[in-house]
Amino acid sequence: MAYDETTPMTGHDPGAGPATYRSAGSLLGALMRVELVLARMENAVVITAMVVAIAAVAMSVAIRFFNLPIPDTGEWAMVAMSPLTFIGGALCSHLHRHLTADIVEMLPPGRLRRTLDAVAAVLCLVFGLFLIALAWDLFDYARSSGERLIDLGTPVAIPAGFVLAGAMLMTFHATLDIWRALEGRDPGGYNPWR
Amino acid sequence: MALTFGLMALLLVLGAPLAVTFGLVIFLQMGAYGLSIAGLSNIPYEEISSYPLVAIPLFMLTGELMNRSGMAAELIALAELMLRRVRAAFGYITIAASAMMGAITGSSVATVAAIGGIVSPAMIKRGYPKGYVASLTSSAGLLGVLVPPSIPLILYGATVGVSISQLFIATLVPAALMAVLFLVVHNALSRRLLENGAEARPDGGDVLAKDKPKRLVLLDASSALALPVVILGGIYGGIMTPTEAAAIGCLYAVGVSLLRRLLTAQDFARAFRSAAITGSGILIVIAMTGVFNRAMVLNQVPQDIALWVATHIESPFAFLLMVNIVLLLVGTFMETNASILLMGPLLAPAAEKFGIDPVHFGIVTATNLEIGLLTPPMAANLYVAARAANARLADMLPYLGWFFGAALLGQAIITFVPFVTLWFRYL
Amino acid sequence: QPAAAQKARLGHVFAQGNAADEASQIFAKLVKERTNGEIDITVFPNSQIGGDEALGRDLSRGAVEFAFLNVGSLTGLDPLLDIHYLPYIATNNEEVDKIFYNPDGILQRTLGETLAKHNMVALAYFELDFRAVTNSKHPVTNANDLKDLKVRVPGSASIRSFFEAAGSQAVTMPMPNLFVALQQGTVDGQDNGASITYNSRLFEAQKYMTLTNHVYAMGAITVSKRFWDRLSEDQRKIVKQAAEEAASQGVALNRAANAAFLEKIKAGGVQVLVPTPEAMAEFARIGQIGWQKLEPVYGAERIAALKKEIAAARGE
Ligand code: NA
Ligand code: NA
Repeated sequence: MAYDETTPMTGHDPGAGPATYRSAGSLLGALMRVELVLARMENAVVITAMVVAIAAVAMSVAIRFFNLPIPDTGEWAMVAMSPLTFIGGALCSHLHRHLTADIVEMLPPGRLRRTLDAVAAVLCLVFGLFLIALAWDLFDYARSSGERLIDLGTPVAIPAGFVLAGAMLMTFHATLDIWRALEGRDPGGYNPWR
Repeated sequence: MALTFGLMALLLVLGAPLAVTFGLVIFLQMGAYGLSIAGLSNIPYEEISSYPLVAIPLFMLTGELMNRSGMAAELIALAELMLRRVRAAFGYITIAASAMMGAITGSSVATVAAIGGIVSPAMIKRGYPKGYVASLTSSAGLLGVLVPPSIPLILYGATVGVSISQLFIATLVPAALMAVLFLVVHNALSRRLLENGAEARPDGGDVLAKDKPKRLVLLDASSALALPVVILGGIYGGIMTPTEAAAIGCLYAVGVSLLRRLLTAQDFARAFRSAAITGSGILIVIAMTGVFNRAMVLNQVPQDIALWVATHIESPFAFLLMVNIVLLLVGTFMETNASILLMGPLLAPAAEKFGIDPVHFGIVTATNLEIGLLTPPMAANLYVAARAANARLADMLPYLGWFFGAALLGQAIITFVPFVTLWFRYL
Repeated sequence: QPAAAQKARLGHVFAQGNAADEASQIFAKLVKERTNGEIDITVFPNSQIGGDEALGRDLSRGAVEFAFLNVGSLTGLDPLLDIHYLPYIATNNEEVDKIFYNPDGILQRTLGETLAKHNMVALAYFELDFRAVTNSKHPVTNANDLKDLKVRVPGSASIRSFFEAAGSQAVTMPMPNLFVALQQGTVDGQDNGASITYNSRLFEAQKYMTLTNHVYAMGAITVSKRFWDRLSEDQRKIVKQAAEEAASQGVALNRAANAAFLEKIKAGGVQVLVPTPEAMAEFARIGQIGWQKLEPVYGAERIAALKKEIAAARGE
């Protein structure tokens, strides 16, 4: 058996299921339920992107092998990389599964640990805001210039749009992480698979 | 520069994700680096829109499917049957499988993704510490580029103007040398790490080799064994490129799992989700290292260092030594292929001046920068291996040092014994 | 008012030492000297700051100031940008000089106007090369020999049209994968000119090279409009003049180097073939199929104007 993706990387379970916090009825609780819905959508997007990437590359082999009279589909695999990276990045934020230097993780749970969680979340927020600015700049250009990818004519605005959406989602997850840290909760949103 | 590296260390210690760190270090100093939002906005997108990178999530998925379907276990049962008398056999299997994968792909990270995803859970079950498993798979992953074909060598040959075919021949003995050094490290460390120095026999399902007739073990493993046959045959038969082999590998694993009813719909969903999350965690770091690398290149940091080495060193020996130190530094902070494109043309002319054979120097440069895949913070192999073994970087450090040391010893031999690379000239 | 010393960055995809790279260094040096250091250009070769598509995006938004741009790679921005890839516009350097390097000709006007639409100013045009066909299956001496070949082509409708018309299988594949694909036989051949075939070491994986000259490629020395608008009238004159000089020196360097590349390719064991005039005529005839197919893309007027220029250049 392989390790499951919900195996906590941080030593604490990233959301023991909605039931734990539902009682609160607080604004944070409500936002976290919104976040949960978003995370499920992120999950659907990245899985779709994987399927598209496999199908596109496999089609490309078939087209060349059988000399089929259709244009090469490899382009879609490249387009799929954008949601896979940036929407997937947002899902990593939600699950608190980003790659880190793992230094904070070695600290025992407590005030210092929680403070550092908050600091890291603030850094993620600032990063997210910069990334939104970058992604907007690219998206705006891609939309107004009408640039397309060469083989199938996919508008560059589509992958660029995924960069923007991913940046916004990462920022949202970071905001809630700060809030969670302030309320003394563990980082990461509700488990989307429970 | 000092500020940049200080800031990077601080952010990492504070627990900021690697992707956030690489991005933020540059975003916060945009003015000082002469960069703007517009100047950076294209980079993260451009960096991951690359056909070779598509292989990473796809190999991850193949690994997931092989593991969850039990095909990996069947393969492992067969390997165990064959290597019954060998102590700590799994380390050897990992290294051999990585070398075989190296003959398929030109990328080290793809090798770690493919091999690490399959062997890690099995090794952990047999009593190896997670951190050790990740260190072994990430180091063995170097064989992915050392064994030809190798993307870094293609880039080196093309940018510096050296025969790629000769580079491919010249890398064969260094690859074997590194493999032997890693085998030695495994032999030594496994004695200490495993209880009684031997692998545990996991009870239950997958230690089939002991009770089952050999014939049945082989039969069970045949569908899994066909995977490398399909992939190798496809590539060397001229049907597909390595990235394509990754996709075909996925389809094959899906197909066999369906035919043999090895996986439920829910298992498939888990495999996809797991591979996607692992893949995106790595890809977002790669996207952001692009931003960091661009800032370095635009501010001529590596270029200035190379210029200094090329002008201030007087003997070939000192030159090769300095080159190795500089490249290790560059490889610590920059991605391998970007470093090759940058450093190759900067250092090769000086090497020629010292009378160093261009093929030899190409291998020295490429191998050194590939070792950089093991040195954090820019260390794709480590991240992929850590994810596959569910380990933390901190868990890996005690073991990684040994493999890194072995790689450095190998690098020293490659650097100062030219015959290791140039033997074919004497045939 | 222009600032005292403006730092500018120039990017391109060519390897260090390539004629286009040399030309870019000449350009940077001339500009710096003649503006007394007011405009200081640093060259980043070898795709260090991005490939052609990325450079196009950055020029367009003013994120990079200059580029030696392979405009034929920017068809995603506008399909007109590879109009000069139409097969057999010219078959020798004399015709090339008359048709491609005529600032008032339809090719430079079309490319210049199209780049301008995307906030890029084309200052001058430099030479890439005549494209050839290489493969490992069998010698290509006439159009018939192209029929059973799997040829990797770049993302250009014009180039693709030529191989499809000849009956080859045109395959799209990114450049970094090409060497191994040729070696392992995933594709049989490719169609770069002598310099790229040599510099990217593709000849090592090929047995035959046929100088079909089916497409002539040129690039544009381009400046970002945002940067251009900030320059004074005098500075613009200097920059434009420097670009033209660098381009023409680059053409000379390239032509000298081209012969040397062919020699080195031969020395590498590749059989280099020159088609007979009859075979060339047949190649050119096949090329015309692409012209018809692509007329809606490039526009009937432009095609007609180009045909007129070709006739004039050939003294017809
Ligand atoms: Na390899
Ligand atoms: Na590194």
